[in-house]
Amino acid sequence: MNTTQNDSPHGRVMIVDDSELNRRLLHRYLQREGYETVLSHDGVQALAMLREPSTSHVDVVLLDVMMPHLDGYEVLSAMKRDPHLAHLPVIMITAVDDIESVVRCIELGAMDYLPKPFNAAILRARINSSLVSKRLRDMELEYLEQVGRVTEAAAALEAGSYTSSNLDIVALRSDALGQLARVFRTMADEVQAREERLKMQVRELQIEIDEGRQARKVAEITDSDFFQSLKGRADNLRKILEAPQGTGRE
Amino acid sequence: MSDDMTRSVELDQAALDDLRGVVGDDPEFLAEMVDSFVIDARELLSAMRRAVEDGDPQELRRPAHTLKSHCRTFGALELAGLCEEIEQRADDESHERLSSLVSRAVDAYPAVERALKAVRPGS
Repeated sequence: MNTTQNDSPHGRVMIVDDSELNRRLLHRYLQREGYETVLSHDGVQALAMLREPSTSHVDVVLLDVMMPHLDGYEVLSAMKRDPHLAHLPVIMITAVDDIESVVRCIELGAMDYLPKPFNAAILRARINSSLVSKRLRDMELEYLEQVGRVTEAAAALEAGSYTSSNLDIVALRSDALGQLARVFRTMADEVQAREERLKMQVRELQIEIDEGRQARKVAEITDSDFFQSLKGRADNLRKILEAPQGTGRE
Repeated sequence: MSDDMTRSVELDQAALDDLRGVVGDDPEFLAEMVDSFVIDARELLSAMRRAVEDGDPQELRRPAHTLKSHCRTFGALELAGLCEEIEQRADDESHERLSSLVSRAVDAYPAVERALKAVRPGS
Protein backbone atom coordinates (compact mmCIF):
# COMPACT_ATOMS: atom_id res chain seq x y z
CA MET A 1 0.00 0.00 0.00
CA ASN A 2 0.96 3.48 -0.70
CA THR A 3 1.98 5.17 2.53
CA THR A 4 1.51 8.72 1.40
CA GLN A 5 -0.24 10.81 4.01
CA ASN A 6 -3.61 12.20 3.02
CA ASP A 7 -4.90 15.69 3.67
CA SER A 8 -7.42 14.71 6.34
CA PRO A 9 -6.13 15.51 9.84
CA HIS A 10 -8.12 12.57 11.24
CA GLY A 11 -7.22 10.06 8.56
CA ARG A 12 -8.98 8.33 5.71
CA VAL A 13 -11.09 5.29 6.47
CA MET A 14 -12.28 2.76 3.91
CA ILE A 15 -15.68 1.19 4.62
CA VAL A 16 -16.21 -2.19 2.95
CA ASP A 17 -19.76 -3.48 3.40
CA ASP A 18 -22.28 -4.94 0.98
CA SER A 19 -25.18 -3.31 2.84
CA GLU A 20 -25.85 0.24 1.74
CA LEU A 21 -27.58 0.94 5.04
CA ASN A 22 -24.47 -0.06 6.98
CA ARG A 23 -22.19 1.90 4.66
CA ARG A 24 -24.32 5.01 5.07
CA LEU A 25 -24.42 4.72 8.86
CA LEU A 26 -20.67 4.24 9.14
CA HIS A 27 -19.99 6.99 6.61
CA ARG A 28 -22.32 9.34 8.47
CA TYR A 29 -20.68 8.71 11.81
CA LEU A 30 -17.11 8.92 10.55
CA GLN A 31 -17.78 12.14 8.67
CA ARG A 32 -19.30 13.66 11.80
CA GLU A 33 -16.09 12.73 13.63
CA GLY A 34 -13.95 14.40 10.98
CA TYR A 35 -12.64 11.37 9.14
CA GLU A 36 -12.50 11.15 5.40
CA THR A 37 -14.20 8.05 4.00
CA VAL A 38 -13.85 5.81 0.98
CA LEU A 39 -16.79 3.47 0.35
CA SER A 40 -16.75 0.04 -1.23
CA HIS A 41 -19.66 -2.34 -1.65
CA ASP A 42 -17.70 -5.59 -1.91
CA GLY A 43 -14.31 -7.20 -1.43
CA VAL A 44 -13.33 -7.30 -5.10
CA GLN A 45 -13.96 -3.59 -5.50
CA ALA A 46 -12.19 -2.82 -2.22
CA LEU A 47 -9.00 -4.61 -3.27
CA ALA A 48 -9.07 -2.93 -6.68
CA MET A 49 -9.46 0.48 -5.03
CA LEU A 50 -6.69 -0.17 -2.51
CA ARG A 51 -4.35 -1.19 -5.33
CA GLU A 52 -5.24 1.81 -7.50
CA PRO A 53 -2.67 4.56 -6.80
CA SER A 54 -5.12 7.42 -7.29
CA THR A 55 -7.54 6.09 -4.62
CA SER A 56 -5.24 4.11 -2.42
CA HIS A 57 -4.44 6.67 0.28
CA VAL A 58 -6.29 4.85 3.04
CA ASP A 59 -5.21 4.74 6.69
CA VAL A 60 -7.64 2.18 8.12
CA VAL A 61 -10.02 -0.37 6.59
CA LEU A 62 -13.35 -1.26 8.21
CA LEU A 63 -14.17 -4.66 6.76
CA ASP A 64 -17.40 -6.63 6.87
CA VAL A 65 -17.06 -10.42 6.94
CA MET A 66 -20.07 -11.75 5.10
CA MET A 67 -20.11 -10.31 1.60
CA PRO A 68 -20.82 -11.75 -1.85
CA HIS A 69 -18.04 -12.58 -4.37
CA LEU A 70 -15.15 -12.21 -1.92
CA ASP A 71 -15.83 -12.36 1.81
CA GLY A 72 -14.01 -10.42 4.51
CA TYR A 73 -11.64 -13.30 5.33
CA GLU A 74 -10.54 -13.53 1.70
CA VAL A 75 -10.08 -9.77 1.42
CA LEU A 76 -8.04 -9.74 4.63
CA SER A 77 -5.86 -12.64 3.42
CA ALA A 78 -5.28 -10.96 0.06
CA MET A 79 -4.28 -7.73 1.80
CA LYS A 80 -1.81 -9.50 4.08
CA ARG A 81 -0.25 -11.30 1.08
CA ASP A 82 0.21 -8.02 -0.77
CA PRO A 83 3.37 -6.25 0.46
CA HIS A 84 1.85 -2.88 -0.47
CA LEU A 85 -1.27 -3.48 1.66
CA ALA A 86 0.00 -5.79 4.41
CA HIS A 87 0.74 -2.98 6.85
CA LEU A 88 -2.72 -1.35 6.57
CA PRO A 89 -4.71 -1.76 9.80
CA VAL A 90 -7.96 -3.67 9.28
CA ILE A 91 -10.83 -3.58 11.75
CA MET A 92 -13.40 -6.30 11.15
CA ILE A 93 -16.87 -4.94 11.81
CA THR A 94 -19.43 -7.65 11.49
CA ALA A 95 -22.58 -9.33 12.71
CA VAL A 96 -20.81 -12.71 12.56
CA ASP A 97 -20.47 -13.18 16.27
CA ASP A 98 -19.04 -16.62 16.90
CA ILE A 99 -15.66 -16.87 18.63
CA GLU A 100 -14.18 -18.89 15.77
CA SER A 101 -14.75 -15.97 13.43
CA VAL A 102 -13.04 -13.56 15.82
CA VAL A 103 -10.07 -15.90 16.21
CA ARG A 104 -9.83 -16.45 12.46
CA CYS A 105 -9.82 -12.71 11.76
CA ILE A 106 -7.12 -12.02 14.34
CA GLU A 107 -5.03 -14.93 13.05
CA LEU A 108 -5.36 -13.59 9.51
CA GLY A 109 -3.94 -10.28 10.69
CA ALA A 110 -6.92 -8.10 11.60
CA MET A 111 -5.98 -5.41 14.08
CA ASP A 112 -9.36 -5.45 15.80
CA TYR A 113 -12.85 -6.89 15.71
CA LEU A 114 -16.08 -5.03 16.38
CA PRO A 115 -19.57 -6.50 16.52
CA LYS A 116 -22.48 -4.92 14.69
CA PRO A 117 -24.30 -2.85 15.68
CA PHE A 118 -21.28 -0.83 16.58
CA ASN A 119 -20.99 1.47 19.54
CA ALA A 120 -19.86 4.91 18.36
CA ALA A 121 -17.37 5.57 21.17
CA ILE A 122 -15.74 2.13 20.85
CA LEU A 123 -15.47 2.45 17.09
CA ARG A 124 -13.84 5.87 17.39
CA ALA A 125 -11.36 4.59 19.99
CA ARG A 126 -10.38 1.62 17.83
CA ILE A 127 -10.02 3.68 14.68
CA ASN A 128 -7.83 6.18 16.51
CA SER A 129 -5.70 3.39 17.94
CA SER A 130 -5.32 1.93 14.44
CA LEU A 131 -4.41 5.34 13.05
CA VAL A 132 -1.64 5.72 15.63
CA SER A 133 -0.34 2.30 14.64
CA LYS A 134 -0.53 3.18 10.93
CA ARG A 135 1.30 6.46 11.45
CA LEU A 136 4.06 4.78 13.44
CA ARG A 137 4.41 2.22 10.67
CA ASP A 138 4.51 4.99 8.04
CA MET A 139 7.25 6.73 10.04
CA GLU A 140 9.17 3.47 10.30
CA LEU A 141 8.90 2.90 6.54
CA GLU A 142 10.03 6.46 5.85
CA TYR A 143 12.95 6.04 8.25
CA LEU A 144 14.05 2.81 6.56
CA GLU A 145 13.74 4.42 3.14
CA GLN A 146 15.91 7.33 4.26
CA VAL A 147 18.51 5.04 5.88
CA GLY A 148 18.60 3.41 2.44
CA ARG A 149 19.33 6.78 0.87
CA VAL A 150 22.34 7.28 3.14
CA THR A 151 23.77 3.83 2.39
CA GLU A 152 23.14 4.37 -1.34
CA ALA A 153 24.97 7.70 -1.08
CA ALA A 154 27.95 5.94 0.54
CA ALA A 155 28.02 3.36 -2.28
CA ALA A 156 27.67 6.13 -4.89
CA LEU A 157 30.56 8.06 -3.29
CA GLU A 158 32.75 4.98 -3.55
CA ALA A 159 31.69 4.45 -7.17
CA GLY A 160 32.28 8.10 -8.06
CA SER A 161 28.63 8.80 -8.89
CA TYR A 162 27.65 10.61 -5.68
CA THR A 163 25.25 13.57 -5.86
CA SER A 164 24.75 15.47 -2.63
CA SER A 165 21.16 16.51 -3.46
CA ASN A 166 20.07 12.88 -2.93
CA LEU A 167 20.51 13.45 0.80
CA ASP A 168 18.73 16.81 1.03
CA ILE A 169 15.44 15.36 2.30
CA VAL A 170 17.21 13.19 4.91
CA ALA A 171 19.35 16.11 6.05
CA LEU A 172 16.17 18.02 6.93
CA ARG A 173 15.37 15.55 9.71
CA SER A 174 15.97 16.77 13.23
CA ASP A 175 16.95 13.36 14.59
CA ALA A 176 20.20 11.37 14.59
CA LEU A 177 19.64 10.16 11.02
CA GLY A 178 19.34 13.77 9.87
CA GLN A 179 22.58 14.62 11.67
CA LEU A 180 24.29 11.63 10.09
CA ALA A 181 23.09 12.75 6.65
CA ARG A 182 24.31 16.31 7.21
CA VAL A 183 27.74 15.17 8.45
CA PHE A 184 28.02 12.65 5.64
CA ARG A 185 27.01 15.24 3.04
CA THR A 186 29.58 17.75 4.34
CA MET A 187 32.34 15.14 4.40
CA ALA A 188 31.37 13.78 1.00
CA ASP A 189 31.34 17.31 -0.45
CA GLU A 190 34.84 17.86 1.02
CA VAL A 191 36.07 14.56 -0.40
CA GLN A 192 34.62 15.50 -3.79
CA ALA A 193 36.22 18.97 -3.66
CA ARG A 194 39.59 17.47 -2.67
CA GLU A 195 39.32 14.96 -5.46
CA GLU A 196 38.55 17.76 -7.89
CA ARG A 197 41.60 19.72 -6.72
CA LEU A 198 43.79 16.64 -7.11
CA LYS A 199 42.47 16.09 -10.59
CA MET A 200 43.29 19.71 -11.46
CA GLN A 201 46.83 19.26 -10.11
CA VAL A 202 47.24 16.07 -12.09
CA ARG A 203 46.11 17.90 -15.24
CA GLU A 204 48.61 20.70 -14.57
CA LEU A 205 51.39 18.20 -13.92
CA GLN A 206 50.47 16.39 -17.09
CA ILE A 207 50.82 19.64 -19.05
CA GLU A 208 54.24 20.25 -17.49
CA ILE A 209 55.32 16.71 -18.24
CA ASP A 210 54.17 17.07 -21.84
CA GLU A 211 56.02 20.36 -22.23
CA GLY A 212 59.24 18.86 -20.75
CA ARG A 213 58.90 15.87 -23.02
CA GLN A 214 58.58 18.15 -26.05
CA ALA A 215 61.60 20.22 -24.95
CA ARG A 216 63.66 17.05 -24.60
CA LYS A 217 62.66 15.94 -28.07
CA VAL A 218 63.64 19.32 -29.51
CA ALA A 219 66.99 19.17 -27.68
CA GLU A 220 67.62 15.66 -28.96
CA ILE A 221 67.12 16.88 -32.51
CA THR A 222 69.06 20.15 -32.21
CA ASP A 223 72.02 18.50 -30.47
CA SER A 224 72.45 15.82 -33.18
CA ASP A 225 75.45 15.93 -35.66
CA PHE A 226 73.06 15.87 -38.57
CA PHE A 227 71.19 18.91 -37.26
CA GLN A 228 74.50 20.71 -36.55
CA SER A 229 75.70 19.93 -40.11
CA LEU A 230 72.41 21.21 -41.57
CA LYS A 231 72.65 24.28 -39.38
CA GLY A 232 76.25 24.93 -40.62
CA ARG A 233 75.14 24.65 -44.20
CA ALA A 234 72.19 26.93 -43.60
CA ASP A 235 74.48 29.52 -41.98
CA ASN A 236 76.81 29.40 -44.99
CA LEU A 237 73.92 29.83 -47.38
CA ARG A 238 72.64 32.78 -45.39
CA LYS A 239 76.08 34.42 -45.52
CA ILE A 240 76.29 33.96 -49.28
CA LEU A 241 72.87 35.41 -49.76
CA GLU A 242 73.55 38.33 -47.48
CA ALA A 243 77.02 39.13 -49.08
CA PRO A 244 77.15 42.18 -51.47
CA GLN A 245 76.96 41.39 -55.17
CA GLY A 246 80.37 40.65 -56.82
CA THR A 247 82.08 39.48 -53.70
CA GLY A 248 80.69 36.04 -53.86
CA ARG A 249 81.95 33.13 -55.83
CA GLU A 250 81.01 33.31 -59.56
CA MET B 1 -57.66 -9.18 12.31
CA SER B 2 -54.64 -11.52 12.26
CA ASP B 3 -52.16 -11.78 15.13
CA ASP B 4 -49.31 -10.08 13.26
CA MET B 5 -51.54 -7.04 12.66
CA THR B 6 -52.24 -6.57 16.35
CA ARG B 7 -48.98 -7.72 17.89
CA SER B 8 -46.66 -5.07 19.15
CA VAL B 9 -42.94 -5.26 19.85
CA GLU B 10 -40.70 -3.15 21.99
CA LEU B 11 -37.56 -1.95 20.31
CA ASP B 12 -34.44 -2.18 22.43
CA GLN B 13 -33.78 1.30 23.84
CA ALA B 14 -30.03 0.76 24.23
CA ALA B 15 -29.76 -0.14 20.54
CA LEU B 16 -31.81 2.91 19.56
CA ASP B 17 -29.63 5.11 21.77
CA ASP B 18 -26.52 3.70 20.07
CA LEU B 19 -28.12 4.40 16.70
CA ARG B 20 -28.88 7.99 17.69
CA GLY B 21 -25.28 8.31 18.88
CA VAL B 22 -24.12 7.26 15.43
CA VAL B 23 -26.55 9.44 13.49
CA GLY B 24 -26.26 12.50 15.69
CA ASP B 25 -28.84 15.22 15.94
CA ASP B 26 -30.27 14.78 12.48
CA PRO B 27 -33.89 13.59 12.50
CA GLU B 28 -34.08 13.71 8.71
CA PHE B 29 -31.19 11.29 8.33
CA LEU B 30 -32.62 9.00 11.03
CA ALA B 31 -35.93 8.96 9.14
CA GLU B 32 -34.05 8.04 5.94
CA MET B 33 -32.35 5.19 7.75
CA VAL B 34 -35.68 3.85 9.04
CA ASP B 35 -37.08 4.02 5.50
CA SER B 36 -33.99 2.18 4.19
CA PHE B 37 -34.47 -0.47 6.86
CA VAL B 38 -38.08 -1.01 5.79
CA ILE B 39 -37.16 -1.34 2.11
CA ASP B 40 -34.23 -3.66 2.87
CA ALA B 41 -36.18 -5.80 5.36
CA ARG B 42 -39.01 -6.46 2.93
CA GLU B 43 -36.55 -7.44 0.18
CA LEU B 44 -34.53 -9.62 2.53
CA LEU B 45 -37.62 -11.46 3.79
CA SER B 46 -38.68 -12.06 0.19
CA ALA B 47 -35.21 -13.40 -0.60
CA MET B 48 -35.42 -15.71 2.42
CA ARG B 49 -38.79 -17.03 1.31
CA ARG B 50 -37.48 -17.68 -2.21
CA ALA B 51 -34.39 -19.45 -0.86
CA VAL B 52 -36.55 -21.77 1.28
CA GLU B 53 -38.81 -22.51 -1.65
CA ASP B 54 -35.75 -23.27 -3.81
CA GLY B 55 -34.13 -25.33 -1.03
CA ASP B 56 -30.95 -23.23 -1.30
CA PRO B 57 -29.25 -22.81 2.12
CA GLN B 58 -26.49 -20.56 0.74
CA GLU B 59 -29.06 -18.11 -0.57
CA LEU B 60 -30.95 -18.30 2.72
CA ARG B 61 -28.01 -17.61 5.00
CA ARG B 62 -26.94 -14.31 3.48
CA PRO B 63 -30.28 -12.39 3.69
CA ALA B 64 -30.89 -13.86 7.14
CA HIS B 65 -27.47 -12.59 8.24
CA THR B 66 -28.08 -9.11 6.82
CA LEU B 67 -31.55 -8.82 8.31
CA LYS B 68 -30.19 -9.98 11.69
CA SER B 69 -27.62 -7.21 11.53
CA HIS B 70 -30.17 -4.55 10.55
CA CYS B 71 -32.62 -5.68 13.25
CA ARG B 72 -29.93 -5.45 15.91
CA THR B 73 -29.04 -1.94 14.71
CA PHE B 74 -32.66 -0.81 15.07
CA GLY B 75 -33.31 -2.70 18.30
CA ALA B 76 -35.64 -5.35 16.86
CA LEU B 77 -34.02 -8.07 18.91
CA GLU B 78 -36.74 -10.70 18.68
CA LEU B 79 -36.69 -10.70 14.87
CA ALA B 80 -32.88 -10.53 14.99
CA GLY B 81 -32.92 -13.72 17.10
CA LEU B 82 -35.12 -15.51 14.58
CA CYS B 83 -32.83 -14.44 11.72
CA GLU B 84 -29.80 -15.64 13.67
CA GLU B 85 -31.42 -19.04 14.15
CA ILE B 86 -32.18 -19.26 10.42
CA GLU B 87 -28.62 -18.23 9.55
CA GLN B 88 -27.08 -20.80 11.88
CA ARG B 89 -29.38 -23.66 10.86
CA ALA B 90 -29.55 -22.97 7.14
CA ASP B 91 -27.14 -25.81 6.32
CA ASP B 92 -28.37 -28.63 8.47
CA GLU B 93 -31.98 -28.01 9.40
CA SER B 94 -34.86 -29.72 7.60
CA HIS B 95 -36.71 -27.86 4.90
CA GLU B 96 -39.89 -27.90 7.00
CA ARG B 97 -38.16 -26.45 10.03
CA LEU B 98 -36.46 -23.73 7.98
CA SER B 99 -39.73 -22.95 6.24
CA SER B 100 -41.40 -22.61 9.63
CA LEU B 101 -38.65 -20.32 10.95
CA VAL B 102 -38.84 -18.08 7.87
CA SER B 103 -42.63 -17.92 8.21
CA ARG B 104 -42.22 -16.85 11.83
CA ALA B 105 -39.81 -14.12 10.73
CA VAL B 106 -42.20 -12.96 8.03
CA ASP B 107 -45.04 -12.89 10.57
CA ALA B 108 -42.93 -11.03 13.12
CA TYR B 109 -41.88 -8.31 10.72
CA PRO B 110 -45.05 -6.11 10.49
CA ALA B 111 -44.91 -5.38 14.22
CA VAL B 112 -41.27 -4.35 13.87
CA GLU B 113 -42.14 -2.02 11.00
CA ARG B 114 -44.95 -0.44 13.03
CA ALA B 115 -42.67 0.02 16.02
CA LEU B 116 -40.01 1.62 13.86
CA LYS B 117 -42.47 3.94 12.18
CA ALA B 118 -43.59 5.01 15.62
CA VAL B 119 -40.07 6.17 16.50
CA ARG B 120 -39.34 7.51 13.01
CA PRO B 121 -38.95 11.30 13.17
CA GLY B 122 -41.65 13.04 11.17
CA SER B 123 -44.09 10.12 11.29
